Amino acid sequence: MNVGSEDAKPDVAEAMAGLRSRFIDSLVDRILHMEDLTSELRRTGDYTTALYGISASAHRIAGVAGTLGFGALGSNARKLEEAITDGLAQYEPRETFLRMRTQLEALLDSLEAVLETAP
Amino acid sequence: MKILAVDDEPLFLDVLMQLMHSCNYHDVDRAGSAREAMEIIESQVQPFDCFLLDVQMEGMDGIQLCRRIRALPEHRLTPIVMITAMTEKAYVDEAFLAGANDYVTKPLDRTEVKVRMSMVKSILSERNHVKLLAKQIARSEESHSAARTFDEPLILEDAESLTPFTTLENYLLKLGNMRLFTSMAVGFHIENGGDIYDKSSGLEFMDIMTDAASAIADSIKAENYLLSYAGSGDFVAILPRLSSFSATVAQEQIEAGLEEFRAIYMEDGQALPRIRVGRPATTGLLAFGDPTRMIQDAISRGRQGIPNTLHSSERLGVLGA
Repeated sequence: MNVGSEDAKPDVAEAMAGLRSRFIDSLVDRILHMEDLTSELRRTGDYTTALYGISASAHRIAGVAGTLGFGALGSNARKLEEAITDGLAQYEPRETFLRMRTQLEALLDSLEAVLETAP
Repeated sequence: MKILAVDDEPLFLDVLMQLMHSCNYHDVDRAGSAREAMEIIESQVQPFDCFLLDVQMEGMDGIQLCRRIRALPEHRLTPIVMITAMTEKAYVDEAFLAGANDYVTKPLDRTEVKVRMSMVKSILSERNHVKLLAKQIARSEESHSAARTFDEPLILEDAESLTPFTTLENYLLKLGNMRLFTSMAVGFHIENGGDIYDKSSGLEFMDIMTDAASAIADSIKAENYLLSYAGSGDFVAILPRLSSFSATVAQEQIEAGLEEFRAIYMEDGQALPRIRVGRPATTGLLAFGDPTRMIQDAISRGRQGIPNTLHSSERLGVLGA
């Protein structure tokens, strides 16, 4: 449900506002998790594990963000997930990783933007 | 309505629960994985009335979970709604084939969820009608004719290959134009369905329709298909347009399949169903009409059967509407 739905009742809007705050609070951990995955990648060279981990994180962000009204964040998370899924279907994991970095950076920018504008 | 929502993102589950509450669905349980869902389902005394399953989950995904739930006898007909992202539409076919009744896309919108839950209610109502009917039949075989009319779609509990008619319609409504173009609908009509209905008790009629469904399912050579009973002696199958389906061959196989039951039917004083197979109905790539029209076309063609005057290539063909 988009938070901005016109038919949202006041108590629903209040509950959703609480969920939005919790989502924003969770973003730092989500960013750190993705950074951990890339650090682990640099250490082990295991592109496949890193890509699946990043894709799963992006998928989770995409599912929640759009529903809570963070459209741009949800869209960038979805684009990253797609870039990884499509990339792995066409290229080797390392090539996929190199190709999806633009989408990863866009997602991290969106995450930071949400954090910066958070109350 | 007792609902189980399954998603591996806890925050999304919180949002979903809130949304369900706002739509006046308060009896909602949650599971964070498919495995946990199965544990919860198996521990219930009062079974769930509806499942909301995220498609993409780590470990066992939503489609596998859907298949597992469908394998449980008490949930063969329980409505299952998949929750999926737009980009996962490739999974939608697989979800329907696994037994899902519908899907809703993320990001969630309350209006769409309300609509989907209305569909759930209609499936539940259809299922409850069947249960009520079974009870009535148990009390009196004669009650069926008063309880249900010939033209209503039926959920045949013992026909494993059958999906509820509302699900078949949902499936077509959800397909994009390109995907609709790659599907075809085939109608199967029981010529003597009305007579069988008039001369049978409720239980007998459902048994005969189940035999007919089984013979029809065996004649469909496609790996992936959906088959429903639409009422009035009409069955409809949706299958890939490029499958090697042949109406003529199907007709012959159905007749051969039912022939095996002839002695039993004679012993019971029942007529064997005589089934006509229609030419496949398709839709054009640029046709933007009601997708369910393909079902109506298939039913009409099923009632006509295969005209004897048609050239053999047409009898076999997938020539389009």
